[in-house]
Amino acid sequence: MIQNQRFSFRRIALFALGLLLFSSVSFDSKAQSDGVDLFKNNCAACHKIDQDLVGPALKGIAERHDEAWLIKWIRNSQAVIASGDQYAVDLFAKWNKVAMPAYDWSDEEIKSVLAYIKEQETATTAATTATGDPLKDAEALVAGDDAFPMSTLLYIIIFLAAAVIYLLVRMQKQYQNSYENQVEKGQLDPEKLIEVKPRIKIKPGYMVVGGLGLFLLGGIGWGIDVAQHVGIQQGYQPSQPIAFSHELHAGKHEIQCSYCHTGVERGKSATIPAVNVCMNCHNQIKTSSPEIKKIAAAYENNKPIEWVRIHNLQDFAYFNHYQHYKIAGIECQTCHGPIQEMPEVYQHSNLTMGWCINCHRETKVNLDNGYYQQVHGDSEKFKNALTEKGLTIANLGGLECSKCHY
Amino acid sequence: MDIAQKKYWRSVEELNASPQFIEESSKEFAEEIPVDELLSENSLNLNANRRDFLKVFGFSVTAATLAACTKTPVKRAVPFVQQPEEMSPSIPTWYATTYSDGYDYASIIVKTREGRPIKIEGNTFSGISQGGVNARVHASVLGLYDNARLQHPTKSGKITGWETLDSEVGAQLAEISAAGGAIRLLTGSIVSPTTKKIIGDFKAKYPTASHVVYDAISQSGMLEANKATFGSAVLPTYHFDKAEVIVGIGADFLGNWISPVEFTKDYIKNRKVSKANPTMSRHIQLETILTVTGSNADQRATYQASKEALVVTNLYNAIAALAGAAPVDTTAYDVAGNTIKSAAKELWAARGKALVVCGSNDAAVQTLVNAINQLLGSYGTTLDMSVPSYLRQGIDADMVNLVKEMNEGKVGALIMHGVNPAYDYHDSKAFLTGLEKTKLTVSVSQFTDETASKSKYVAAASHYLESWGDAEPAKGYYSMQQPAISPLFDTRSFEETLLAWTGNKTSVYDYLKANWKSNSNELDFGAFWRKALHNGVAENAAPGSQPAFSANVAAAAAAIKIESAEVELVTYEKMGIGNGAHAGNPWLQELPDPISRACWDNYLAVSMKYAKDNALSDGDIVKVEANGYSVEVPVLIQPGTFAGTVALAVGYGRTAAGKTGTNIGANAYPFRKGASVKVNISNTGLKTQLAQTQTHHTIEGRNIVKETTLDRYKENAADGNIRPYVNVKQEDGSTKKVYPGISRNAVTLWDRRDYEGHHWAMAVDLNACTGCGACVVSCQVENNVPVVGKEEVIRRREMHWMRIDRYYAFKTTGSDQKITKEEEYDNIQEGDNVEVAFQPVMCQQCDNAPCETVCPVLATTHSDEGLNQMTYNRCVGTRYCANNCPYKVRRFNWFSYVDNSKFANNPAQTDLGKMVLNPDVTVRARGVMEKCTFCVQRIQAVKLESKRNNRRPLDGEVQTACQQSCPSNAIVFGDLNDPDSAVSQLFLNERAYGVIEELNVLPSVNYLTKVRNKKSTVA
Repeated sequence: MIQNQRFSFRRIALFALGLLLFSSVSFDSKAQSDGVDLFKNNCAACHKIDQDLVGPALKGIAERHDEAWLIKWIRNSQAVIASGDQYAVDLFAKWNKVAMPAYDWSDEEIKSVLAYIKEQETATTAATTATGDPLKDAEALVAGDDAFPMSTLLYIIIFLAAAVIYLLVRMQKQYQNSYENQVEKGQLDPEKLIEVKPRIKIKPGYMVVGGLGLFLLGGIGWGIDVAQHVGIQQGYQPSQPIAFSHELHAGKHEIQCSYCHTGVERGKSATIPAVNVCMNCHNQIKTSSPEIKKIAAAYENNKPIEWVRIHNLQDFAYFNHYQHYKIAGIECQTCHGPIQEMPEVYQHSNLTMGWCINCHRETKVNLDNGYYQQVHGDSEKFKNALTEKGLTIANLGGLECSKCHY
Repeated sequence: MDIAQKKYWRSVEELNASPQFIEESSKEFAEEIPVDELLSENSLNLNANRRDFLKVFGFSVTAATLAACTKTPVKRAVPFVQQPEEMSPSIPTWYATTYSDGYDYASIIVKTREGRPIKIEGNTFSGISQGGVNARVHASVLGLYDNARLQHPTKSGKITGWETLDSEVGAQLAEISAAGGAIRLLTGSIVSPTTKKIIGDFKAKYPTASHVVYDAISQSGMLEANKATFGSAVLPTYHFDKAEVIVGIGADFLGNWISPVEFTKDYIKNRKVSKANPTMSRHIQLETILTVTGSNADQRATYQASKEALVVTNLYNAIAALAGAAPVDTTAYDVAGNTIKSAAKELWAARGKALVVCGSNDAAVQTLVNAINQLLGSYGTTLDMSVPSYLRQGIDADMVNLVKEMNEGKVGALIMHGVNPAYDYHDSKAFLTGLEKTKLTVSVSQFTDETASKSKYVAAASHYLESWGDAEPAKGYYSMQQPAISPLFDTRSFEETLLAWTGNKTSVYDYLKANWKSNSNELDFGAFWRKALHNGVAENAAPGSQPAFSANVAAAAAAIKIESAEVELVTYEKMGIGNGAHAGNPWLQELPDPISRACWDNYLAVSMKYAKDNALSDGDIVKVEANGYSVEVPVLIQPGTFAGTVALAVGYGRTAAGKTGTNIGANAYPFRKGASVKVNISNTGLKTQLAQTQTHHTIEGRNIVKETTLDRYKENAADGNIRPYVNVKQEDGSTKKVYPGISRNAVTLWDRRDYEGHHWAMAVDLNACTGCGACVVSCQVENNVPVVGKEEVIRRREMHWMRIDRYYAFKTTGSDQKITKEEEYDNIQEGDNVEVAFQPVMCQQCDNAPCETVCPVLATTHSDEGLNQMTYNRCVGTRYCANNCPYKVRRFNWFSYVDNSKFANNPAQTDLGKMVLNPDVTVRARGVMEKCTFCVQRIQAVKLESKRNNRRPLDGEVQTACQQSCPSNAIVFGDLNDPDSAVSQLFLNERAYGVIEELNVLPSVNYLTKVRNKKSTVA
């Protein structure tokens, strides 16, 4: 019942939070959602709402400038500076003459970004008990208090069972002893009693053999378990030459994964960013940090950083990041885990074939893609899929060997 | 004999069908499993007793456990410091460039992965090579990663620096020049205008310098003849596509003659027949030995090598008679079946659309050939002198003269590039003594070859994929050469080195660009330059009027001297090895010759009659002696050879061609002193085994190659394509013909499959395939196919995923001619009167695949796109699948070719060689089966690209490696489920058939019957 109560309390909190957010949502929720994407994909790498980054904090920007000026500035900041606008010139000088890229956006798009910024201002100022991120709170809620892991539960049950058996045996022994004592002392007449003998008499020898047997079985089970994990590096968390934190970059600062891992937009490898990508921001930010100094040194001495590779998929398996990220729209976290919470990255998934296959069995294919419509559109199963439950990758041959092994 | 029932045979052994051969041929694998050999690798003794067994068993279990306990090695991921814009890991980048080594020319595109060039394909923008690439150009990418490459400049064999070399060579050149001593620049044919300009600068700096062009296999005769008849020593460009009648006289133009890829592309345009256009050119080939060109001819006849000039003079006279011109004075001669006279009639009938080509290197003979073409009105149509070809420029007399000068001590300095006269000059001894008398000898070479090792200085040259340059193979057909990788070693290109010695500090790139800019009248040169580099070509050829023709044919005919012998020796070039410059390339060494199917050796090709008369059999080692030079080589009985002629390939017998190419075969260049030489052949009594592929099995009289003639095709497009059927009894008691190869509803053991998405399939036009072998090398490069070496090929363990089967059949002159038993017997005795058919065979990806049903571990399974998938990690090596494959396309990894020291020739054995591997294709381990996958990695890549573009793959978007590299466009690949795709259309073609389709395995590869343009009524 306590659980239930807590649960309902959380539910109410979430509802309240939702209401709060909804009330703060500006007139055009569509525009605002465009603004979120535009901001996160383009602005967030250099700007935060309440904090200076590569560029200034954007809090109160609507007060500082009128909308027309902002639109001009976002479209082409260099043109504004060139036009001799004093504020723009000063701003450019103050921020070490780092030019802001020009964005060829429509007025609506820019307005949506501004709306998002304004929206965020109120969100950060509104002190709520929640973290301020509806997504995270919802996640926390769904996860709830982690149930006991299965294995722990099993161990406890086994322990309890063993204890009960032990107690029963002890009790039986004590009963036997007291019975014999009483018979000896003549307090009881065995003749008059109905004989109650334990049905099973456990000899110590049996105990030993049974114990050994159990031990052996356990050993074999453990051995199989170990053997099945040979070569699996799940949880592998080597220390890296530079203490780069995904928690800080992807989590706190919400930089898009593909901002640095550009390969996911194009090809098989997600690619570890080149040093010059780090230096895009870090020639300005936190240049005094010892870790950043290492990057700067690598950049100046033209010495690449030797990261330790964490995810080592076997060479005979072909995996293409682009296909999964862009075509299928799989989130990075699906395979890489809560990367935005990892100060040091570890291998989240086991990367075994069973793991791949399982996902291919469960994941539905995005049938809107013209490829599937034009290639599979005439088939019965495709037509059924449109009305019923959809098609998994496995339904379209996604479990076949030569889809991944060439 | 009905053509459809024509008897084909693959080898002389099969024709003779000895009991031993039949016994051997029934086995899929030549030998029993070499258990002893395999176990001895671990020094295990098979005769172990129980205690030993337990010891070894215990040890290996412990060792395996311990080995499994080692820590997983830490792998590093090292990104760039500055990410280059054009390079991203895992994404291939293509560059257009040019291959031109004075022997082969091709405009190409190079695939680079992570900065490494790994594959070469043809550039379809080129008007010369037209997207075609031959086996040598395909294999040239491996030259980049050759361990035998020179990594530094050397002086007297010791490593030196460029500064030392430049200052010493520069000082000596200045000294020699000042003293008036001759400086000679010896190179192969150079087609690069910029290189020629740099040579001009060099000659300006050193006024005593002159440039000598030397081609090991030259067209000197034709150049001189053209100089005499047209006033300029250049070759014409040929237009085989415009020729309706082609007569080749000893010119292997589909093989190695001048520009074979260009000629194949053109030739094949007129050889593809369809119902809409049931015409094809008529090709008559007169030759001495069986060549690829002769194999593809509609009519072929042989002549004695020394009588080549008589063939030309008699052809001239026959045509002159028809044209009303004066005949020349000559001895009357004709080949079998009066072919010269009938060819003359056909040529004359097709005048204006006729072409005669001749491989002779005699200026007088070539003058007569020019005169023939002039009579036929070929100039301006099938031949063009207004757009000359610069592919061969060497004049033999120049080289003779140079060697003479050197021996007289008149040459002060000799700078050599792209030539190897110490190996391939017919009088290499004279050249070497001359070299000793030359004060300064410099080789600009990639390898310490026979010549470079005798030169004082060797300026290590860069590979062509590391260098800038340009080329003009024919007037106005410019192509660009750009590097695809930085030089791997401390090397410089020839141009860089020459510029340094000229005292010019400009980089080759700047020089090249400036040269182009100065010759360009483009308004926006920057845009033009970028486009030229991007496309790889900048063509502005403008055919003009033909130069005036004047030839003294009578004098030319009088200059011809015929010297015949009972047995004559000819030398020739093989498809893979060619002139021998790339003998160190294991892919080329292992490429079976299209005709003889032999690899890793050269051999004396003799006719069946000669072998019978002299009691020789395959592998007998004979001593061949002529002009005081002799070699000992094995004999190979080659049907189609003129009975009085024996042939030996050049390009072998290298003494300094790296680990792979050294001491393979015997050098035939010293025999090339004359057009043909009298030769003494004596049996040494020794015997060896030749590494031949394909001769191991019989075809059991099955109808594997189907063919017809053009006349019959016009009447019935399905002629010759008799499809197997079974009579199936119907319910009403009647019988109905069911064609298992066509009908998917035939009774079958297999589950019926519905391919709902794609159904990949391939069609191969037997009429187009010339058998050149480019696809075999292309497949090898694309799919990381290992090189196994001669010993293993002899054991039938070659690993090529595709092969080109060559079939012989006895010639039938007319479409309805009957061959009696007696005639057939005579034919078997003579054996030289053959017709040839080529058939590329790759995995047929059967819908009802027999291999799949016998695999006990499901390592080979069927995909729902019609592919027969091979899963290496599941394979336990039972080889049941190979035994059950009707097409014999499965290959077994007997060894670990990547680390077993027995296979040192396999490129994947060294760190440098590994760079050529395709990272998208698994390198297979020992003990697993492998086979053609239809280039599944390319299919998957295109499917992904289609998903990106929100559409189905376009027809022709997926190109298999073999298809892309085929110079004759014989292979078409696509989706059978797309009714409009080219392959779907071809599968419905009347000529289409599946090989042994009566088995109802439903192969996904169909072949189109071969159509020969035979004349049934020849006068």
